[in-house]
Amino acid sequence: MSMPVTDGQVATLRAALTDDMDRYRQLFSQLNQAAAKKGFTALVAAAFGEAVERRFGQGHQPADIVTFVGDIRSRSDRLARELDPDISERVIRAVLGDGSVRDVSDAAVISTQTVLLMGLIADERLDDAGLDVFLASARKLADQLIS
Amino acid sequence: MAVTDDQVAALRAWLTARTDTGADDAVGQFITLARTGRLDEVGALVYGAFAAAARRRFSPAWASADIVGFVAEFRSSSTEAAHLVSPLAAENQLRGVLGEKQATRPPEEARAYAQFMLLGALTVALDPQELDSVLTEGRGLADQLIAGRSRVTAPTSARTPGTGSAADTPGSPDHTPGSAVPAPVPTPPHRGYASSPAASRRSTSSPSALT
Repeated sequence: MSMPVTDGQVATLRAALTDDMDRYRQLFSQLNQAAAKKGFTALVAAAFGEAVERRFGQGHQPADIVTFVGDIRSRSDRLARELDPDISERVIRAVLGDGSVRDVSDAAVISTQTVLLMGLIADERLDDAGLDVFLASARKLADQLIS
Repeated sequence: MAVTDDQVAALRAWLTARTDTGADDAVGQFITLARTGRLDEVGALVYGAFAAAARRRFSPAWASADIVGFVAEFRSSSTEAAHLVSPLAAENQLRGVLGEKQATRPPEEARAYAQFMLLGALTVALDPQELDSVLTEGRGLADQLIAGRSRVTAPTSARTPGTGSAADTPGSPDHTPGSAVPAPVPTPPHRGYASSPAASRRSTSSPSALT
């Protein structure tokens, strides 16, 4: 049986989503890498899926996704350079049941999901309590994914 | 061979098409060019006009966000635009004609679609005189490309902050035009485009293919 998502993994993602990158790097380096490979990846995927559903949900238009990715990539030169718009749009559409990203490397998918998730959560302007609720829900879903 | 008046007229008709009839007329002109073996220069003309229009739009300075935002806005204007125009190819082509050296070169078809469709978006709000100016400048660039000149007019715009290289001109190997107008020809690129004041009056049906 796989190990469920740990408190440390949740804290690591929380640091990323609050844009505390020093703390994120510190916590990430402390994660058990073998366990994190499944647990943290599942947590990011679950949180991303939930955030995408909340943002786009039902009745979304393809243009909404293009606009969102363009907006995220417009926020800095680095994002414009490093965030692949094709993969970004595809990982969002995949969550919404349109297509898949099976031909994209796991590393590219997880890194893209992480960056987009940060943008999605930043746009939601959640307070601490709201972020805790969001992460708890994502953790529950991630545990289901890896069980 | 230099760009001819009827090639310019065909592109102008395409860029100014506001109705199905107008689009059909433009396609008809392209078909005539194709049947008489005179379509080759149109790719260079599209590229030249695209370069001229991009410089007009983004001069005197531009930031990465301007390019990303413009391409995203255009691609979000229709499902067809999102499907046909690769964002990476479009940004690559825009950055290239604005003087920033590009490490990669998109596939030919992606370059052609990006140039052709973004040209429509870049010119949709121009008045007739401005469009004439773009086409004249584009024709000049195209003639230089066709004549095989190694260097053409350096870009007038500068990136902000200035990392673009003025030495990287549209004539460099990284930024050569697509081979010709993409076939089948997509819906006129400015139809439905958010920046177009006449967008809501336009039909959404596609014209027939060139070939």
